[in-house]
Amino acid sequence: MLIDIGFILGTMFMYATPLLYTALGGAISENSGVVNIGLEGMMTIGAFSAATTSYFLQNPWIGFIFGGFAGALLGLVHAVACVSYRADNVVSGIAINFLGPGIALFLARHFFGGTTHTKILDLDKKMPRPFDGVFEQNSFFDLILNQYATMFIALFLVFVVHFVFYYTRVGLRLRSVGEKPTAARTVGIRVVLYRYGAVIVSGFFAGLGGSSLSIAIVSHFWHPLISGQGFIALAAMIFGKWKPIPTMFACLMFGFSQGIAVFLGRVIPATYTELVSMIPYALTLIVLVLFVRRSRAPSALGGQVDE
Amino acid sequence: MKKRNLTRTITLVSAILLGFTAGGIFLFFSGYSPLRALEKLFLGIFGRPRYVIWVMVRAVPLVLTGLSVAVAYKAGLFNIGAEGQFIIGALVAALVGYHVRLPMVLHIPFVFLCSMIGGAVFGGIAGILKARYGIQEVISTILLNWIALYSNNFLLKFPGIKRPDSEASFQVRETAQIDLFARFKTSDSWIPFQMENPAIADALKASLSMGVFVAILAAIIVHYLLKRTTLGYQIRAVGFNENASRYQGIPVNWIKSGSLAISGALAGLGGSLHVLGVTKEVSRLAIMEGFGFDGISVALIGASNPLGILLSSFFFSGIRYGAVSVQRDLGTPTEIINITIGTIVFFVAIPYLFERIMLAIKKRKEQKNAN
Amino acid sequence: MTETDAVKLTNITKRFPSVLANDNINFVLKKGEIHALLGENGAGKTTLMNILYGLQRADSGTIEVYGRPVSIHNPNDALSLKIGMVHQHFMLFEPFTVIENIMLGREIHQCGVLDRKKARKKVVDLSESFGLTVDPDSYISEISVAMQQRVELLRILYQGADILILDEPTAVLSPQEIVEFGAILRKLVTSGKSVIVITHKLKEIIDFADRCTVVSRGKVVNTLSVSDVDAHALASMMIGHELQAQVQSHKNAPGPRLLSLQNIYAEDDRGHTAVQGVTLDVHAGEILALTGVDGNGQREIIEVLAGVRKASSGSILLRDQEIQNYSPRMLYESGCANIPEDRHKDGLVFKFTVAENIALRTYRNYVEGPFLRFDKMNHDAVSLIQDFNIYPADPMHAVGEMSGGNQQKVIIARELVDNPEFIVAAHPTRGLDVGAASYVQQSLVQEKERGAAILLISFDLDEILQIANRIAIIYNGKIIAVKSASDLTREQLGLGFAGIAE
Repeated sequence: MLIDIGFILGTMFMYATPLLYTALGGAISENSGVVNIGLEGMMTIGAFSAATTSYFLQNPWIGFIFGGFAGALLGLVHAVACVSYRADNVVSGIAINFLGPGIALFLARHFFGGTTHTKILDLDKKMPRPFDGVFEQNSFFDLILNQYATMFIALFLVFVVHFVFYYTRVGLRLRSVGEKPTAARTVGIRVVLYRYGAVIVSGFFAGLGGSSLSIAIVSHFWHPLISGQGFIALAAMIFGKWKPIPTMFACLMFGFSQGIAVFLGRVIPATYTELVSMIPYALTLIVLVLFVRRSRAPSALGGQVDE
Repeated sequence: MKKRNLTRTITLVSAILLGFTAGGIFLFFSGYSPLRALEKLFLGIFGRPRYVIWVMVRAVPLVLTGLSVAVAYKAGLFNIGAEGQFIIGALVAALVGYHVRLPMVLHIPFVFLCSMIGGAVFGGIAGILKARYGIQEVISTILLNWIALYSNNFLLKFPGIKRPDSEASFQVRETAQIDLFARFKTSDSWIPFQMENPAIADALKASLSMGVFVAILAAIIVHYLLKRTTLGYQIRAVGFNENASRYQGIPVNWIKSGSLAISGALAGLGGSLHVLGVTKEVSRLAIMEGFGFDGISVALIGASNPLGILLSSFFFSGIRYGAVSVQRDLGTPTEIINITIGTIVFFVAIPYLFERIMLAIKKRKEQKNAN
Repeated sequence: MTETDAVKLTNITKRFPSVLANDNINFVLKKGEIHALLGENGAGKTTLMNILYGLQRADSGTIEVYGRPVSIHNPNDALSLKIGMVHQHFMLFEPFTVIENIMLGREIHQCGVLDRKKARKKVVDLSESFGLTVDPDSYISEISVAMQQRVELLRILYQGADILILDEPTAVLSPQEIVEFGAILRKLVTSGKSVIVITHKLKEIIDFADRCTVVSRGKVVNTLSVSDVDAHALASMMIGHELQAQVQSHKNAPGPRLLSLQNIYAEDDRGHTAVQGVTLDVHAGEILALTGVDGNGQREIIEVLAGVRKASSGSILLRDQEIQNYSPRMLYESGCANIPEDRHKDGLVFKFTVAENIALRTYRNYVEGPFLRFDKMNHDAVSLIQDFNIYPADPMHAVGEMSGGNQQKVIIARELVDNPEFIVAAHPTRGLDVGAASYVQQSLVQEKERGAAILLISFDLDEILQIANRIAIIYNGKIIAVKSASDLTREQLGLGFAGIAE
């Protein structure tokens, strides 16, 4: 029983990790007033870049950071469109979702001899697991805590982002820009600069989210690796009312229902696996119906500023 | 009004050119000749009559999902769920097409109706969640997409639905198939006809279905729905200003739910047309097929205008179809298409850029004239 | 150096695509004075001040601050010259606290981490020294408009401003609060600040300004000392001609009771009980003004009467028939009309044409099967456009591209077209120029004389005293007095605004 709970919680953390990075990225961008529906594409390019650099440089950490940079690059593209050229944020995001996978697969073919997936990393060249071997194998704590380093970094980043949002000058200014850009401008805050920064950092985080999949949870990148997780992260962020800590809980809740799904998948007949796979999505929907009242988005979300 | 249309046209044309340029650059750097690829692409679409027909046939689902996204968009809603509504429509079509026995004249409309109801219910759920509980349709439709996909896969495990020894459903009965000329192509007169009319025969080799005409009809109906009907007026009012609409007694919540239901019905019809006209069955889905997501881009490129959507689906379907022959003949990577489409959508998003460029050109002209 | 001019603007010209907003304007603010900038809406006052504050750039002209020629490209430049501005629409952030709002842009921090304690102390010190009492830890969304204005003032003082520009600062204040506000301004100038007040209210200028510059159609009419002039002269200068004859309102005897609110309770968006047992009767053929400081439950009453907010208890009778919790459409069908307070948000669909906007509530008349007869709709709109003098006279023109006055006329045309029995008019002249405002008032008076019952929600005392038969004062969600308009003086109204009824 305890072992089962450990398994479910462990699975929760594992599934939640990429979502955490990406949803935090979403929160950063949207608190500055720019809708980021392109998280999916940024995750994809991040996952690819991380897997590729890790493979060639044989170092997961460089790969991890590289994944972030690749995402940030797409973030920059999104920022140019949305901030400088008044693009409809959603449309630009959709474009990013084409460009991300398109470029990733194109480069994959280029680097890996015509295939659309990267080569599998050696086990010891993947993200390390800091608590590996600390606990007895498959014991309760081992199941929960023996996670990739990326998981712990993600949880840490939640609090970093929370701190930055609510306790620092940059955070206050960032939120003011997303709330009422004209007013922020009158007190001398450089709206454009903040929005650029936020969207680029948002891409960086989404890139890390992709990396945490391709070089930790699995050990290579292939086409449907991301399939929709960027959107789920977006949903988690909205569910989390655009705030880092509630967003974390939303991601964990989604991970938890994945955990239950995986657990049930082991114990019930194969006929029902599809039904079980549905759990995370259906449960999220039910939780939304039961607990979420109209939440308040940043006021200027998706709007434009005249400079 | 006129000026806005001009900007829109210039934006669209430039976006398409830039999209192809981006694709060309990527091709060039991976050692292919962009010009040859472009030529192949063109020939792959227009090279033979049957290619054109194929492009049209493949455009059918995109027209419907594009219209689906557009109707919701007019009511101020963003329907990412066309994908799931499409899956449900297809599933219902496969089930009703096989399990119900009716004469053809009734069977086909009956399947359409059932698929539309299926899609409408699925879209309507998102609508009610939005209207009643204030849950953003963007989240609910994303989640519903996955629920649709797993429902499809779940049902396809049951005997009676699953065709033995396959990953797919039973094929729909002949009374529910909407191919045109299918019987003619297997008849005795086909071979002499081929000799006499090679061009038409070639066109007929593509499995042209009623779907093309239904799609065009659907676009016309949606056009009139939005422009001429009371419901269309209400939808637009709500989309432009929800508060004012509520103040004036337009039932905002009903209109929102209703437009998502209509949106779902359109996507569901798309699924139905795809099954009855092309696949004849539904199979287990490992990933989303993307008809709904492509519908978003189709609607965007088509400026949410039904006629625009007809053109943009043809365009979309054309480059996807044409790309297959480019890949076959030149061995180019298929991802170029996504890069091209992504670039086009990207530039469609920023008409402001082109406005500024137009303004700069105008100014320079004026300066020249002044000198 | 004994420089006595805080600000000197010389030959400022600013042209917008359609109008010449500032035409060779000269303006001097002396050190330590309160200087009123007077003019109608659209006269160019705000544009001029936006130029001084760096939000807009003049096409030509020079700016001197304390005798030094300067160029101001953005608000940062203005702030470093110690110029601060409070905008008419407050530039506050609702989800932020008072302290956060005040320090934004000039944060007290250590290595980027906010030092809220220090900031708090500075804010408290400032508010004590200028008598601007405000709770530094509450959120903007929780405090009254008058408090929000104090926050705005504190903010520019915090930023170190010596030259304060205040854009229509009294528009949102009660008469009582306006008196307090005057005292605060006095305190500011005695401690060395110089103040520019943009306004179109004559009485205030006389009450607390030292000098006054009158602007009309982008040009300076005159700059004069307030002690040398009376309100009447100022008004004719502002409008450019003698005051028009005021709207004539016969204080006719009202008819039978038409609408009756009985013990109405309603909650605001945050779930607080904003309306606490309001009982009011409106008679046929009268205008009942409901007045009070903004945010005392007026909005909720308006929304209840429009059918977009549910009353939590109580009843509303129209001709003795219960209409409580009717939908907007049922209300309209039983003869109620509603001129909402926010044209942009609640009144109009900006991307729709004039005809489509007029038809928003009557579109069911044009239904033919599933279709809507847009041709008929346009046809009907043409005659309304003539009747109500709407410009441009084109039923296909997009409402969003029209002037505020004409937008309001579109609403009025829509609401008054089928002779409603009961009309709610919420701040119907807010933001309109004198001509448009008097047109709107005239229309209401005509409706009244036709026999309609009108509930006018307004805090413009001139308007109320001019056209209302009776006046009800609301304070804290309760009606604290209902009197005949002729029995009330400005002073009594002012006390009533502050919650004091004798």
